[in-house]
Amino acid sequence: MDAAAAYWWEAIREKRLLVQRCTSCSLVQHPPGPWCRRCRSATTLEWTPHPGTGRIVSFTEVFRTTYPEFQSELPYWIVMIELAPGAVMVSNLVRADGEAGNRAPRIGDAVELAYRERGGTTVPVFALAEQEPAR
Amino acid sequence: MSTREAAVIGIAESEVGRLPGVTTLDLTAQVASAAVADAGLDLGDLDGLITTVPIVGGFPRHAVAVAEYLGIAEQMRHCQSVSLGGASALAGLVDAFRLVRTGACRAVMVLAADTPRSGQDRSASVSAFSAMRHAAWEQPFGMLNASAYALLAQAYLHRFGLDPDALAAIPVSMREHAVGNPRASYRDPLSTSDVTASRLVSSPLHLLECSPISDGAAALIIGRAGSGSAAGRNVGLLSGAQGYVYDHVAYAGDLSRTGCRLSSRRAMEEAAVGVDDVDVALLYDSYSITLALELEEIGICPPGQAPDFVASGGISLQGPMPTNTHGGLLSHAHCGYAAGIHHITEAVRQLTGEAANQVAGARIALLHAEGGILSANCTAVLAG
Ligand SMILES: [Zn+2]
Repeated sequence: MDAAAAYWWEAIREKRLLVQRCTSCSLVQHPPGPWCRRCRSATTLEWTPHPGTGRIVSFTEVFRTTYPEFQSELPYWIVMIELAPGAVMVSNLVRADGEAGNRAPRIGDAVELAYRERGGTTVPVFALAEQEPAR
Repeated sequence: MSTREAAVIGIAESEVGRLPGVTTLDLTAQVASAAVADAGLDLGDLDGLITTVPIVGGFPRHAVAVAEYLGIAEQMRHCQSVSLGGASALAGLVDAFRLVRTGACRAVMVLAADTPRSGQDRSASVSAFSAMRHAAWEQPFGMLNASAYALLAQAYLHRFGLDPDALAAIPVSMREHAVGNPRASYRDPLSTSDVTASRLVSSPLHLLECSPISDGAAALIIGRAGSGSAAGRNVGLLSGAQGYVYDHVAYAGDLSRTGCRLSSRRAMEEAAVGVDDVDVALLYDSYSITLALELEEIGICPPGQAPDFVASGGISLQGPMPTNTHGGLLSHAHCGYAAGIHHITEAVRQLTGEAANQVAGARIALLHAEGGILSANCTAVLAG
C-alpha cells in the first residue's frame, strides 16, 4: 500500500470511484500512483470522479480459490475493466441472482459499477450493463 | 570481449517430482557437489555463488546461507540471491558469465533448489502463490496466479478469434517430449481431449494446462572456457538480456504486450542470431498460454498462430523449432523457485550431444525464462 492506494480505497468506502488524470499529458491512470506514469509529472495529477462505466477487456471464472472470503462465492468472475484508454481495473463481475438473462461475459461487454461488502470492507464490483443490445 | 572467455563447464540435476523427506538444503548439497565434480573441480575452486530464493527452506540472505552451509563462505568474492521468480536461474546464469568474463570471479556456481511439493502442505504452496498477487489491486478481488495467466489467455484467444480449447495442443506437445525423457515426472501419453476434459482451474485454463508443483534442484558451474575437466563441457553464452513491461496484471493495461518481446529482441540482436539460426529452444512453460505468447513474442511463429504451429508439430523434435525437449515445466517438473534451471541444464545437454531427446547437431540454443505473469523476462543464447 502507498498513500495513493489508501486514498483510493478510502473513497471507495464512501462509494466514490476515483481515477487519476494528468492535466499535462491527459493520461487517465489506474492503479493510482505518486505521479503520472507517462510524463512522470507529480504536480499535474488530479483525482477525478469516474462514472463507473466501462468495458470488459478480459475475464476468467475461478473454480477453486485459496482466499477464505471467496470460498462462499465460488465459482466467481474476475474481470479487467477498461475505465478509460489505458486505464484498466481488476475487479469482479457479480451475478444478479435470480435475474433473467444472466450469462457469461464477453470481451467488449459494457459494465456498470456496483459495491459489495466483503470481509468487512466495501469493494467495487461490476455488473453487466442493462439494455445491452443483442449481438 | 570474447564470448568464449567463459563457459558452462559443469552441470548437475537432482531427481524431480515428489521427494518426501528431502529438504531444500539436502538437494542443495547434492547438486552442488555433483556439479563441481562434473566440472572436474572441487568446492574449494569456487569464488562466486548465485542462487534463486526457494519458496520452502529459504534464508533472508539465501546465497550467503548456502555458502555457509557448503563451507565455502570465506572464499566467496560474490554472493547473490536472485528474486525474479521463474526468471531467476537464467538471469543468474547471465550474471555468472559477466562475473567470469570481467575477472571478478574465476568459477561461479548457479544453484536453484526448492521443495514446495513435499516441504509444506500443498495448500500452503498454493497460498504462497496467491500471496504473490498485489495486496491493493489484485488480492481484494480473489486473484490467483492461475487467474492472472487466465486473463492473458482469454484476451489472447479473443484477439485472434481462437477456439476456447486451442491452447490444449501445448501440454500435449510437452508430454510427447517427456515420454522420451527418463528424467521427466509425467510420462504417460496425453491427448488434447485429456487436457480439455481436465477440470477448469480458472477459465479458459484447465488443470493440465497448469504446470504441477514439484521438488527438485540443479546447479551449473561457470568458469574460464576450457578450465573444466579434460572431457568436460564448454558451452558459451552469446548473449543475455532482460525485459519488463509490468509486474502485476493489474498494471498491465494492454494485455497483448509482455517484456518477452523486449528481452528476446535485445538478446537476439546482441548475439546477431535470428530464429532460423536456432537449433533448439527452451522456453518457460508455466502454463499453456505462457509458451504460446513466448513463441509469438520471440517471432518463432506469427501472432495468433502458436496453437496451430504447435498442433502441426512446429515444436516437436522433427519440427522447425524443437522446444522444451525435456518435457518442460508442464511435464518434466516445475520446482517452485528452482523452476527454469532444468531448461538451462537441458540446453547444455543438447549442445553437448547428451540429451535424451537429442536434436542432431544442435549448436545454438535459445532460452527464455519469465517470473510472475510474464513480468520478469530473461532471454539468453547459448552456443555449443
Ligand atoms: Zn502525464
